[in-house]
Amino acid sequence: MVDLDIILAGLSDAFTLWNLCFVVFGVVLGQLVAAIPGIGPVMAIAIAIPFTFALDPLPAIAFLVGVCKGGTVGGAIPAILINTPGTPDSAATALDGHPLALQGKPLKATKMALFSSVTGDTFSDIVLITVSAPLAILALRMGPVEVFALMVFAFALISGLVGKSLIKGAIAAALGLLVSTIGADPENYSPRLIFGNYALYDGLPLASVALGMLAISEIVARLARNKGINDAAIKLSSVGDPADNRVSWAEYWACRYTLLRGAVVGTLLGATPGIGSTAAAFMSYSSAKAASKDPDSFGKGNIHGIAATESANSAVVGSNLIPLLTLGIPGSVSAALIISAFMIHGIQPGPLLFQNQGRLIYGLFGAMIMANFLNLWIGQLGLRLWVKVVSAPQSFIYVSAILLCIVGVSISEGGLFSVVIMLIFAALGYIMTRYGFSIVIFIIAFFLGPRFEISIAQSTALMSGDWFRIVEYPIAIVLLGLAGLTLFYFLRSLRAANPNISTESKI
Amino acid sequence: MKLEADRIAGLIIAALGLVLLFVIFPFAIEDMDDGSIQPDTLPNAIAAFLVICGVLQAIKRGEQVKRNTQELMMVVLYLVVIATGLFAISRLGFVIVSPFLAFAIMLIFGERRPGWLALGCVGMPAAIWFLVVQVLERPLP
Repeated sequence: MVDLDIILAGLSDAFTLWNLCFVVFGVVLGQLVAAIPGIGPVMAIAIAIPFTFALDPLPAIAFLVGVCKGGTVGGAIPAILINTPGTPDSAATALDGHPLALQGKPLKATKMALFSSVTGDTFSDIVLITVSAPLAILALRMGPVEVFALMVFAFALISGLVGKSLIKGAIAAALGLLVSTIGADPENYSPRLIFGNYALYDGLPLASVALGMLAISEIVARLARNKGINDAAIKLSSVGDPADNRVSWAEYWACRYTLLRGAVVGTLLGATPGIGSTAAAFMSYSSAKAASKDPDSFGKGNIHGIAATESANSAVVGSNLIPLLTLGIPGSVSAALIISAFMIHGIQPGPLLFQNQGRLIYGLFGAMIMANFLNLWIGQLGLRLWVKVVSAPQSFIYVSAILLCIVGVSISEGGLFSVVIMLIFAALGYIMTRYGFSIVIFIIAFFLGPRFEISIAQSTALMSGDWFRIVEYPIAIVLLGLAGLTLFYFLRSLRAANPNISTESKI
Repeated sequence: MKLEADRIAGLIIAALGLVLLFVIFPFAIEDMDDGSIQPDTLPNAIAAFLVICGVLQAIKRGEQVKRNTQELMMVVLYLVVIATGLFAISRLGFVIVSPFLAFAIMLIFGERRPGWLALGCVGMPAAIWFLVVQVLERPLP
């Protein structure tokens, strides 16, 4: 168990003016950027990571956590105001948020989204802080064979859950793993697939791959889809009665069960790799509607609908870090990006993190608590301001993002070669998205690839090359069995969804 | 019969797996005497897995993706413009090239308002220069 003095030292590290400034900056940036349809917090984190190189680990990670948390609030703004979610997980918020805005209550809707978001986020952070250290102790008992089995299980789960086709998910995972094998092999350090280019010896840079696939491919696709419309991203409709511009305590308290249900759903799904906040938001929305005495009012501006979706999608942010901090397995792209920031700053994620970097981790927890309060405070002050700031035309926003990506990747990897790689992966990301292959799975597999290969090599050595000896590892057998069951379940559910077709693509 | 996009994608993936297995990996990955697994063990396994998944994808009924040639051409155009910009940056530097790159992208996008063009082409590169060179003390490409 982590000593109390380390916990207190970590928290005191976090609560400094310097770190507070970075968390404020991160929350402001996250709220602002997520309010712009098409950019979103994931892209913001990807762009921001290279710029954190000059910082110490704690302010750098606190800043990124701030962006992540701010993004959960900002994404709801365009969903409510113009029925265009800033982030995919805000799509469910638009179901009731936008009708409420059309009734002349846009500020009530955005404020309810803010309060719900902060409530869900705080709940999941408490769960994260409480359970991650004991889970990490359990994870430390796992050897290479169990880690290998755990990764197989994670791949099976992510392939089935992300996207709509298991085969396409598996192909995306395989492609991600394949790309991760470029460079020195982790056991013998012999060069692989570098074709004489020793700039590739250390493998493809994660910043290039992530920014290319997540940011540039999406920006270019949005630029290409433009039909000569170059309007502002957001317009605010006029507001009437002052009572419609705020959320009263009675209104908030009336939503307490909805908020709690959403927070629990989001926390549980967020702790499971691959499910993500979009599924959590829709699941929470469905359960709130089912539990409501007036289900017909949902979709027509019911404040419970906003509470359900925003508490759930925000709760995912904290609990997403549970598999990351305890097992080193990112549950989402934003978690994968945060893990890459850990590695850039020389911190190896996984169960040993609490043992070796306990002070930093509790500093991170402190920063997360700060970010929650700041999210509420900045959100209250900033909602009107973000609407005005993000009124910039798309042309300006997209070109700024492209320039930031070029500079960010260049300074993080020290040359234009990495920018060329980013451009190649932008093209690949566009093609994959166009044909329904998940880039989320690709990036997570790319990130986990080297560790997966090392676990295979170590397991082979441990079992003297005889893989039948895996029966001597009961936890690994259970995990592999779960992986098999997961695949079986997803194949069955695909068949059930398409009774006339054996395995139908549903993309 | 029209081949669905999913089937074509499956065939391409399977072909890629075969090419990797029999053409690229034997040439681009060296064998080693030591180690519990060979450097090509995982790549070969992945390539074989791609062949299997590609074949499965090709034989099942998939969807016909709506073709949007115009969008595809525009994506290619933007990528070419950015690639050209990168080439120019490698020769002339970010400070000189970035205003022209931003200008080209904004023009193709359809932006014609001088104020926003100025902000995108001069204001943003200047802000990036200030952030990277002055604040972070890092060199621009």
